[in-house]
Amino acid sequence: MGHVSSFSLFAATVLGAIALLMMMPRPGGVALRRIGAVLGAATLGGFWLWLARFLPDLGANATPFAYYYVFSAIAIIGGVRVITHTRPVYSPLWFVMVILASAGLLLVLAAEFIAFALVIIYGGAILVTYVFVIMLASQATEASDDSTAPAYDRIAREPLAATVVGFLLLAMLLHMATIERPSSLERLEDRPEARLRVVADSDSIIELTTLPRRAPARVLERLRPEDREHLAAEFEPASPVKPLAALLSELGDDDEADDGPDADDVATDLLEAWEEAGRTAAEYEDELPHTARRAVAETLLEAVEQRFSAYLDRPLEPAERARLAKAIADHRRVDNIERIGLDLFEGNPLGLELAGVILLVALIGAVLIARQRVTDETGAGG
Amino acid sequence: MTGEMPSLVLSHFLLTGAVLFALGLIGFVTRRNLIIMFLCTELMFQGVVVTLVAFAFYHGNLEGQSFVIFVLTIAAAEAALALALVVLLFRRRRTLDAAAWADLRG
Repeated sequence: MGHVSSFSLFAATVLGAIALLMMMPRPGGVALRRIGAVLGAATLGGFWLWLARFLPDLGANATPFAYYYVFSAIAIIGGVRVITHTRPVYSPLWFVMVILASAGLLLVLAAEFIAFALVIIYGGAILVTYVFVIMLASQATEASDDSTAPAYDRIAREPLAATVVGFLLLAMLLHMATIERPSSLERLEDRPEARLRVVADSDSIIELTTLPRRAPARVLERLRPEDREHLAAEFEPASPVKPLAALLSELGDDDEADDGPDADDVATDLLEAWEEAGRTAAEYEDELPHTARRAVAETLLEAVEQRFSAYLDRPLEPAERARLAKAIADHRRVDNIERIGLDLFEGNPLGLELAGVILLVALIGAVLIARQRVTDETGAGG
Repeated sequence: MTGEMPSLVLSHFLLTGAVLFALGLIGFVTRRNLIIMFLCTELMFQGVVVTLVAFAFYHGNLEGQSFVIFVLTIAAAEAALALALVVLLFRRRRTLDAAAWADLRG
């Protein structure tokens, strides 16, 4: 991982600020806006090229990164057009483009629920409202002639100060983001109890042996015994045995030996191997969660593969090993939506309730505000 | 991506989020149209959303994504109330110019 030099960062920021200044709406400066657009695009592209020199060797992971460049470019271009367009009707439309590009970025980050929730809520509800209000509350202008737009749309207010402050903030944010800094776990070295909490929050070990459905212990305590039994059955961790045993019998069908071991013994053996691997994987607690998850998956794969080879009396072929890895991954995979739901309801149920209350209050407030009858003050003075 | 993101790749996503946020900030201060000003606050929210989800991916847990749900809730509530107020203000002065309210005289 490289260290991005501060000078290149600040140079790019200054160039970007100049470009944005040129693009701001101003009376009669169309050519300047086009120059500004080209300069801005060149700055962004140049800065990305510069950053790409420090990228670690991504290998097979590089393809999703192309998605990042495309979606980011669309998002930034859309953002610039939102703030520099003379006519207010087009700004929400460019904003829809920003939303779609953000949704693409979030898909790259494996956040599919958030990506589509963003499209639905922002693009489908909030921006539609904005467009309607703009249509209701705008003053008539000619479509082709820019000079008939109202003055407050054509001229930017204090563009220099705003751009300087905005890009100063951007430069500081980017500086913080690109300098090398220790991972969050390393910095907690001097506070052991905080470190334990960070590790416990990451579900790399929990994911190993429990189903996504996990009931908090304090909930289970308050139930009647018969309810507790019934619920505990539902919340029991799903056994990995069935898919693995099915795969084993399928692989073993090619063998000449007909008398396979007893099915129950196979099941017990596989389950033992699974849990044993889980215990050894506890040593990966210290790693960052995504590293720990991959290490746990590898440990599991090795342990189960050993058992499989013992039963089949031969080492597994690469294709079979790939199938085994896929079976394990399929069993351990948790849906994104499911995990978010669990995080919300287990982690901060109070926040969820408060969000509902906020929405209710906003609904009541909006209805009340819209009902007011307003006298037109401009009757006399114009 | 397999779930492992070097911290410089994280910086790329943070760059996008920061640029969107700064653009929203500049737009909010620069534009005089009330509705577009609030649209720029929504643009700031977008920057925050991208940053939150990038960090959630980097840390491997989903707390960043759960928080985005709350951000969406607040953004929706704020958009509703802000637009209702803007329509009210427009009915008073028949203009969307923020400068019309510069002396804060109701």
